[in-house]
Amino acid sequence: MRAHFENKNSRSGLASTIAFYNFGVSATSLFIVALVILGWIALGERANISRRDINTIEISAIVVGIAFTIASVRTAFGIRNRDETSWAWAQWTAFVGLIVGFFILLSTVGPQIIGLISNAQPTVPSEPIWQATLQFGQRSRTIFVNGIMIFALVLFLSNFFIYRMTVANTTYDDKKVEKAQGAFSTAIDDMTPSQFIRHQLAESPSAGAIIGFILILLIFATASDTFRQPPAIASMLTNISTKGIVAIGITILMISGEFDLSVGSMLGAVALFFMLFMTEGVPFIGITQPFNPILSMFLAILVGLLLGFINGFILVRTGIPSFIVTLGTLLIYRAIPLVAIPGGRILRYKDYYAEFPTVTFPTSIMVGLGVILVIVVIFIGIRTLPKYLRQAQLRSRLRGTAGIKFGTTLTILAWVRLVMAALLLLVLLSYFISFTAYHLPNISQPYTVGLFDILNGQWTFTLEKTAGLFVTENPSWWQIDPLDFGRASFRNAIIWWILLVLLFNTILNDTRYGNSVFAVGGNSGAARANGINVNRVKIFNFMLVGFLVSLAAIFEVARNPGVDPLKGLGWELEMVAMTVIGGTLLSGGYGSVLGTILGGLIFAMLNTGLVQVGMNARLFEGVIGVILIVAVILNTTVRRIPTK
Amino acid sequence: MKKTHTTEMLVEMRDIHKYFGSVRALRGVEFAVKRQEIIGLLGDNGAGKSTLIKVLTGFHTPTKGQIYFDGEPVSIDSPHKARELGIETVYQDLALVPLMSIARNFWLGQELTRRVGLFELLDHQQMAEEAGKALANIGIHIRDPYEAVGMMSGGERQSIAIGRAVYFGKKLLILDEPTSALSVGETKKVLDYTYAAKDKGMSVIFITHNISQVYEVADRFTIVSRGKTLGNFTKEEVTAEEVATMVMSGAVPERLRLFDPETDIA
Repeated sequence: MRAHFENKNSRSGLASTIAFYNFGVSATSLFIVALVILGWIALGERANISRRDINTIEISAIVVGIAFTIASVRTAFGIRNRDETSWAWAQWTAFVGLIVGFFILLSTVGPQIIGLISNAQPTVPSEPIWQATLQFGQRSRTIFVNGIMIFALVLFLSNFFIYRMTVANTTYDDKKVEKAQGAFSTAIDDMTPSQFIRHQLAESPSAGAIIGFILILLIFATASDTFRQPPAIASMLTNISTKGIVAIGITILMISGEFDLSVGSMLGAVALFFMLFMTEGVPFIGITQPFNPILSMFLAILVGLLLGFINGFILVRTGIPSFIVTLGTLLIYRAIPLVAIPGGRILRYKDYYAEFPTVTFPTSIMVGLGVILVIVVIFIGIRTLPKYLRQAQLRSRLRGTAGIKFGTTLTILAWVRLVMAALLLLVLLSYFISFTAYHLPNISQPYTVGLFDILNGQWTFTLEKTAGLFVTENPSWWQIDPLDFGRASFRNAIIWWILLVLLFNTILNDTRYGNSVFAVGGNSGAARANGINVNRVKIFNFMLVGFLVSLAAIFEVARNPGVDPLKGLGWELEMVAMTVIGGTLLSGGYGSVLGTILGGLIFAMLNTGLVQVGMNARLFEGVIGVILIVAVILNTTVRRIPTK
Repeated sequence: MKKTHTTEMLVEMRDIHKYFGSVRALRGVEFAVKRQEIIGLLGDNGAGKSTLIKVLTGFHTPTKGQIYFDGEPVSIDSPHKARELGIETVYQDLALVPLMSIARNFWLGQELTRRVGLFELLDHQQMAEEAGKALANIGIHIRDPYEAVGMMSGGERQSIAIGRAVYFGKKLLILDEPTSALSVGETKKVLDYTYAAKDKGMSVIFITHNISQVYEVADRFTIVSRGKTLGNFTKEEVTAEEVATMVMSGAVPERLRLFDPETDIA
């Protein structure tokens, strides 16, 4: 087969078959695209309701179909012209086709399987090719096969066989693949797509989490209609935002080799103190005047820092494993709200005050804030966009040169990254400009806003309100009120969470302190020998957890201004699960905050999705357990770093 | 009469005692290192070599005795202080973090940074380049500075640890049992790095219990036994077998007693 590319005169049956196959694929996909455009094939909503307008599923089908056509044509012609890179094209188009077929199959078969074991009954399309009704005791379920499933199956199987054929005829050097580094290593040229993906995943700490996240997202998004809607997404993100903030601290602590099981109790205690400071002052030492809410916030943070410090101090002084220390403080700190709120009643803000606290400050601060944000976005754009552009251009230039067959994929990815970064910055820029412009007319007047709303208020998230430039029906984009708190329950804590994640991710990976955290967790003897104060690092990390817990507590109270003595119960195990699913090693020395986000999102999706799909809520815990084990196995096998 | 110390001595440890409770690990050890010399510190297991070095590198403070460095009396109370003085150590467990990359390990504790706005961020590019160059200067070629140290063989890890010490060390390099787990070829490489350190102007303390490894490369030998200095000899004065005997038996052979400074003291 190689001879086909090297010798103009040889004819290879295999190459001809693949070329022919690709011509066939291109013709078929072009045909299907035409049918969708003309309306002969109805997909998505149109399949169930008769409407003339085209929808997103159909648009994506059209786009994908056209891309397939172009790719297959290019492959077929390439093979015919004995262009070496076309062999890589053949592999990759087969691989992509295989994946697409698999996921379409999953989206049609998956819901049916879930339906068999839960309460949901997926909607049966109007004209299935075959259907049958099964009886399970009192439930009946209908399973069916429709045209799309058959199409997906054909797509999957044919591409699978073509893929196997092309892979069997590629020579690759295992050792070279093992040692391949960087985007332009020549070893990458000889890698099959599955090896390439495995190579990329192996570099990342959260490989298992990424795979799991995509799988779970797809399963639930296709199995349940309500899962895709903004209210469900909003409630998932809100749920995970405060937990995610605490999980950041747990991740960093775990990387440095320690555990903190007391976070749930800390949360309850800090939330209690926050509420207490605002409503009653500090009654047990005689202060009966409540404090200003903002002062209460700072005092609550101090409490969190103190509780964290106590954990770290006990660990460092006694040498008892952190697992035991925090197990003890878990119980001790839990006693605090139980003692302080006698009778186990809920301490409610509204019991003491008629209105929620507000803050008033000159509008010029809002305007100033807007201006600063605009400048920050522009600054980020100036620093990163030209860099991405240069890298994309570099890859484009090197793409066709001898030996770089896979350059095409990497080039496309580089351009995609550039475009997405530019779009994101553009959206943010327009939002911040409209924010500034909205407040500018009132610049001389005072601005009053609810404190709890700033901390964790609700807002609507629609394209019109954020990307002011893309408004269709709204009044002029500068008249949008970015602090409009509407129906859906997206909450500000999500923004704070994302900002904190970005901040701590940078701290962990790009500062000296971050390096010392990894060293302390990876080999504390080595860290000490190199001048790092191991005890100081550990105490600081415990205080960091305390700090993040107090932030989370404040946001929780802002969302729901009532504190009960059991607030935060059970959080500690969820935190550990999220962190570990995200790829952080339990033994320390390795991990990522971004991975913990994935872990958190997986949790949130499972939490909401299982309920929407109708599964028994008790099964939720069981499913989490399975996912946890599977994720850790994936993380340790896919990664190349030795875990010893 | 004891010699008054001259500035010819880089390190002088005088009458060092170290007791851990009732265990007397060091009982009046005398140890000196000249400038730009390679000295072998020998003794059987448990003789006190490691404790002596831990005192010199700041892990322990001596119960009694005084250390002189570069002619000045010093009190070395932390590994950081030892590093500041110009002492670099390659420990038996290498003090490398297996899950971290070579570049990060190389610069651990003294990472290179660049300013971004108000913040000091790690300069990964610079660290990788400098580490690669520094190691290449001594003859160690690494494939990829971002590769994790745990993925490398024992000999490669040893090279990186020694390379790091040679690069950062200004005055004194201490190698604690550097060849015990290595093959013949890897051992030879370690000896080459030792020469490279000496050429760079450093002194090297080579700790081992195996004379054959160090005999070739060292200028002098100090033998420690049961917490005391047994003897101090230049290479011309002893043979390898005699040193080995001294290490094993803990006694100085008759022939050499005349040269033993301890027995010369009035």
